[in-house]
Amino acid sequence: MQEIKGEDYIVIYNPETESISFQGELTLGGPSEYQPIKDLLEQVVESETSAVTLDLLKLEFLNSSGISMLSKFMLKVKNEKNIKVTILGSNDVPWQSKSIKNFKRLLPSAELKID
Amino acid sequence: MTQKIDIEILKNYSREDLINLIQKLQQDLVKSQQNNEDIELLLETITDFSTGLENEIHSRNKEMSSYIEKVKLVTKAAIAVKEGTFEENHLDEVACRDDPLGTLAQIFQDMVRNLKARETQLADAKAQLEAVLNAVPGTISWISMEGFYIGVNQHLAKTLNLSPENFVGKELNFLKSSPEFSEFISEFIESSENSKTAEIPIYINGEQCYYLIVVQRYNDGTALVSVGIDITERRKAQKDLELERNAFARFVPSEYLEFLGRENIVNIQLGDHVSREVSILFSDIRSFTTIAESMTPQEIFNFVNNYLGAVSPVIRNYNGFIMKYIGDSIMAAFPKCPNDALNAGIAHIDRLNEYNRGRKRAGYIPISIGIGLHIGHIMLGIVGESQRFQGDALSDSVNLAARIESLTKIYGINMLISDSVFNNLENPQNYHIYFLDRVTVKGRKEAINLYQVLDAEDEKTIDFKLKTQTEFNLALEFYQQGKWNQAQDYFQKVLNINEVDKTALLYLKRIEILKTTIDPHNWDAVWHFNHK
Repeated sequence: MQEIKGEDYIVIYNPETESISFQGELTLGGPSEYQPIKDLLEQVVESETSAVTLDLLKLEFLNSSGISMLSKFMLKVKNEKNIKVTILGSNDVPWQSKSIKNFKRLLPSAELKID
Repeated sequence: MTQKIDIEILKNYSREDLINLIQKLQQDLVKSQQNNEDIELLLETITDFSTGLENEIHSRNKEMSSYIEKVKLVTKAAIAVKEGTFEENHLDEVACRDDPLGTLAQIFQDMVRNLKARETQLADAKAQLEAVLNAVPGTISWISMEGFYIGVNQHLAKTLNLSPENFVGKELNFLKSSPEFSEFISEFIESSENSKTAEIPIYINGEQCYYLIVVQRYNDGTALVSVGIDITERRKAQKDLELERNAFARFVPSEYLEFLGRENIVNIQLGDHVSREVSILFSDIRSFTTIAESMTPQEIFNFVNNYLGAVSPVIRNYNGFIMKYIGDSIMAAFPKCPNDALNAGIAHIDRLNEYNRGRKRAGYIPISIGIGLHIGHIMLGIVGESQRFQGDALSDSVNLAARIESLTKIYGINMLISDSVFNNLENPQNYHIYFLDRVTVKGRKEAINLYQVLDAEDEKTIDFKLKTQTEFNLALEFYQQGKWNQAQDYFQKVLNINEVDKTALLYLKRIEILKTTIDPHNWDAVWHFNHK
């Protein structure tokens, strides 16, 4: 179990369920501030796993830099790995209802589970 | 952008063409990589910019929504105040803000704090007032102008075996315990009076009690408060006192008290007295001791009370009052005029005759009485010692009336009056009154004239008296002149007509004595009685 914690957010990686849970509000300033999360994502991808779940259900807010980071992660998987990606999202969270489907455009193999 | 290269065509390319192509492709690749980097840079720049913007908007939104949250808290607090569930610390997290909302919350807290303090004060004052009102040993009720209970105090509720809540909003007479009270209140409401007092009967546990009720308007006359005190005991005491006084009144008549200028028996003191000129009536049963000899004490009492009960009312009927009873004798006073006394005396005889008819029917011997009337000053007062006193009339005049009465026996007539009575009568011609004698009684030097009242005699006596009138008057004339023999002749003539005429017999006996003791020339026509 690994986690990255900020003032308004927490990101938890659970290897057993092969899921990364994003909670709270991600309003970090730019790529450098997102770097620790980005590193975590890459580490998971590199760890010979065959599937990963991104749980965004409790992620209330994500800014453009965050979206950029996740988008790049999708591209990286598409280009480099054969990993099954599942994204859990919610239509109740404004940013998710608009942006999550774009992840599938970047990674057509990804599975979207939207409440 | 580089054209798509057909591999088949490339087979025909020369080495130089190929090198050229590779060179061109290399250049294209570098260009493309350059482009790619530019686009990525552009993306980074835009992302950076939008991230900054988003973060700012987001933080403002957050701030705004937290502000709205606080406003919601204040609104909630207002509702809590209304519902009475507000606690001061409800707004602490808003009040600590350093902005207008914080100030609003602080003002709100202050206001609520003051309000609560006042509420507590008010509740304290109310509790205090209630405690006082409940401690008051009287009934208190608040009543609306429509005649309904607004409330009552503990004492009132308890008196009627209820609790104060049972009264709120009820009609005044909902217990049917006192229609008089409801009537009193509605009369008061309709009147323009500010307050009113009355003694009102109220049924409590089936017993009639009395309350002194004071009612008063309050709240600018829009409601009224009624305060009541139980006066049942007091009234009872008052009634008992009245009964007691009435009981006393039988011993000391109210006329007696009036005479003494006293309102009631309680005010009477030993030595109280008053001196006045009144007509005095003295009556006595003749030979009472002889009659009484054959009776038991109880029979004597019964007899005397029977007799006094039969004849006493006539005294009151003629404005007189009984000063005292002495055994079978009545001593009465008539303050107004001598006619009252004379009429009472005549009625007294009438009543006696009636009484005697009753006695005769029952097989008893009729009794005879004597009545003496006199006018004089009497001293009416209270004698005795402080533990036992009685009314009494102390006066020479009273004694004289008694002496005159006792003379009736000697003259054999029912009633004798003194000249003081005769001379003061109004319309003496309405009666049949005749001069009888001029005498002094034992213990007195002054001579008085005595008159017989025929109206008080029975028919037979009147008949004889009228028949012997001329002879009797002549006899008296001779007697007064000291002409003993002529006087004797005429008295004898009277006796010839009425052999039991006691007066004539008395005169004859007297003349026998006078003949030997008195010189007719010194005769003043006054006979001196030396016995009682």
